Amino acid sequence: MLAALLRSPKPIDENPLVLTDIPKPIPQDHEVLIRVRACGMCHTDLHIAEGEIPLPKLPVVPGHQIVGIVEALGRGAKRFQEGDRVGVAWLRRSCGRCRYCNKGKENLCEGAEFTGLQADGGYGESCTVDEAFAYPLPSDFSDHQAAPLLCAGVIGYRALRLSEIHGGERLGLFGFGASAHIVIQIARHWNCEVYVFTRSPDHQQHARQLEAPGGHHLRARRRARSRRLARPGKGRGGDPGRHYDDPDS
Amino acid sequence: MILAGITMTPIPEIDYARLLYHERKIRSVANATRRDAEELLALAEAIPLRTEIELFSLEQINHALQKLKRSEIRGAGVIEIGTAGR
Repeated sequence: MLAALLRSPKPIDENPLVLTDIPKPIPQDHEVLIRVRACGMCHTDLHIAEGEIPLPKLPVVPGHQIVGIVEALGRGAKRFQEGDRVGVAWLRRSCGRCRYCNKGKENLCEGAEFTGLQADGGYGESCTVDEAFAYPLPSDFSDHQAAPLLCAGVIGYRALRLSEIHGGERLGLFGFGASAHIVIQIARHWNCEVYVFTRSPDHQQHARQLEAPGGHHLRARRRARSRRLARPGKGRGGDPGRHYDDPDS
Repeated sequence: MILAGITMTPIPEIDYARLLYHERKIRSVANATRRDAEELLALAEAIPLRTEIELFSLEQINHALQKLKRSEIRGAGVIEIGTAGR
């Protein structure tokens, strides 16, 4: 199968990823084999390609916001059927036994493995993952539109939870990339007042566009990079409420 | 203050009295749990969220990542693989 393979990291302008024919993976025990249809891009892919974080597996196929179709099942896999659409995210294995897993913090698991880092990811025609780490996806989303939910959306959502923000409170977003363009929609849904700080004029414009489903007037202070983007009480409803506790508690 | 990045350049010196005293917190995010993913996917359907994407082919992967590095992608970059999505 064809995949974008990273053999040795180097600056992205030197094209570190090379399209290569590699063996198609075989699903083990509880794994599903997935025919990839879309894979979202993440800044972490860039850090991997450029070697800014330690790389335990080389060569490796990066990519960890995968949308695809189950095309085969490992012997013990029961959760999905061939033909089901699933998503794969960054976390692909946790031990279930360590002090972190026992407290519901599998994201910090001492034995955690990550897609496109310890195992080949989604920048190829097929990949495998343990069925317990595959997700059914909302049917309203196309393959392309669902892909960014799997890291940009998920990590943004976790960051929002950790911020302990409540409905109607004020939120500042620094940078306005894939994650922030999803987070602003959740914050607006929770009636939060949102300020965005970003140097990119295009990203500033994008933020302004996303703030106003009702089209209310935007107050922008001249010369300031911040833009007042949303006022409390203008959202479409919903408050994180108790559901929104600090995940530590 | 929540920092959601797997790596960062050094953080400049900050003024303790003005920016951190009064039990303010600076906290990083490391990875995410399956619960985070399940909750986000449910929210995505309920709100509903709309993702804005720029599509690239697998052949364009380096070019796409170069654009990402230069902040030239609006919303999210997505690599299209195999059959076109629905």
